[in-house]
Amino acid sequence: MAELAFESMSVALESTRGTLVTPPTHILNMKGMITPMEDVFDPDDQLGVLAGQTREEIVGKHGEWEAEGSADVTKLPVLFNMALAPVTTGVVPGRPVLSIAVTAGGSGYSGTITAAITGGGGVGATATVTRTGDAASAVTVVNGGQYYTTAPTVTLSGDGTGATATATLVTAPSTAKIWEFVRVMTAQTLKTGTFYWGDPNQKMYQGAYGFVDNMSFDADASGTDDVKMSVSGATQYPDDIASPTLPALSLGPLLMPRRMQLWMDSSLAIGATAITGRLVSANMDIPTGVTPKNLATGPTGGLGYDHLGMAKVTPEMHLVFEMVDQTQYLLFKAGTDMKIRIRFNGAVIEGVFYNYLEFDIYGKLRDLSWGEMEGTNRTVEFTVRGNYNAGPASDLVARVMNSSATL
Amino acid sequence: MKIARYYAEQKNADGAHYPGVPQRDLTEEEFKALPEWIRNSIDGAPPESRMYYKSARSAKPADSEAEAVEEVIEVVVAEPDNPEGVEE
Repeated sequence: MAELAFESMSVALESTRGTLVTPPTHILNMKGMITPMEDVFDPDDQLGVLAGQTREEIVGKHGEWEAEGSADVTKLPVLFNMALAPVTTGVVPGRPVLSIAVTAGGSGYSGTITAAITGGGGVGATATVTRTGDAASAVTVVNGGQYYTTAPTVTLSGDGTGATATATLVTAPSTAKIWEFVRVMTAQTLKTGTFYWGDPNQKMYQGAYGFVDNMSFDADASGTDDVKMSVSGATQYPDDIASPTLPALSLGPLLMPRRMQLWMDSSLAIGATAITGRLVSANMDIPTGVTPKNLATGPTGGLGYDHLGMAKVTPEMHLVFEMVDQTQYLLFKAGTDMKIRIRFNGAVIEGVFYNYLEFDIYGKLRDLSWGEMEGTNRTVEFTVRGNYNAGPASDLVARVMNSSATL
Repeated sequence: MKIARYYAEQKNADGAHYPGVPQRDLTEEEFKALPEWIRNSIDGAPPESRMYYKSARSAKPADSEAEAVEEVIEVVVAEPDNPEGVEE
């Protein structure tokens, strides 16, 4: 058999779970394969002979698939539809604060005037106020924050009165889209997909009723790899088929670990407090809880799984920090409930909008482990097990920013 | 060389491609030399993601729309019962 030069995995989301869809709509740009699996029963017959096995029966058939490669923001929405939540439309993202203008300087101010920025649906914007004489004369944005959908309220405070200001957001992007996946907690709504694997020049294999059972992401700023992703799941027993038509290949920008951003908050909203100058690596492990159910189907029923169920599972984030101070250790020691946002950035889309993959998770820093890294102080590692949080009503939120108009 | 498939660059903002297929017009010889599954994939692409077309006009939708409008106008002008070309 010739070299499988164009071995690839592709998928099409099934509009009805378990109903095969052809042809595939998305090539996953990942190395992977679908392996046919058979559950075989061999009874312990006693025939008075030395043969260890006398008969066998195939009692179940399914396919197992796995794939790994670069995390790709153009393909993640399809996979997250099977792993986290059904979301088929990207929306215009919220924006940072661009500027704040003083609308009234007020009077009677002799000390520092502070600016509190609230509302607007976003988080993290901060600003300083310039006082000239006894009035506010200017407000300078220090951090534009993120995800504001409307201009936040700016409140100027000090020992005087009457100073007011208004905020202006960055112009909405024309191309960038954000896809938000809040991991489903109460409904069986994850999509299934028909998976395709093989080399269309040689042979293709097709497995319907495919689901994702685990996704993981690895990013190491101390290394040279991009952000890696591995995905696994199962399908019905794969059929060998004639090559279907395949969609064109498109590659998303590489997400580079050294462009990671991390926010850790306890009392403030998630995304308010950036952690800089210490993040070495991050790993996300996301079990989906999707499990196949094998039920009796009568003498003519198939041997594949009949339904899918959902089990309770817990996503985990693993963080490695250079130990430049005691900050993270003290949070661990205090058992503080944390709200953590990690963002894996790629190339710019337009203006201040970048391709990225982001996760929000809630939990304590646990399982402390000391490590070493060449060229640094000692490293300290923690695991965060995602807790259910009433804010998003979930234990994990994922967001993908890309320039894709469609799924 | 006769062109078999015209490439619509303006419809491919994502830079998608078929393996081994250049992102430009394809000659008859080039198209015939492609594996059957790639030829089928190129011609079977859904309208929203199609990049290669059999006609030059179809590959340039802005021009083809303008030409289509011109054609409508010509039909209106040409109607024998409507010599003034006024829309009814």
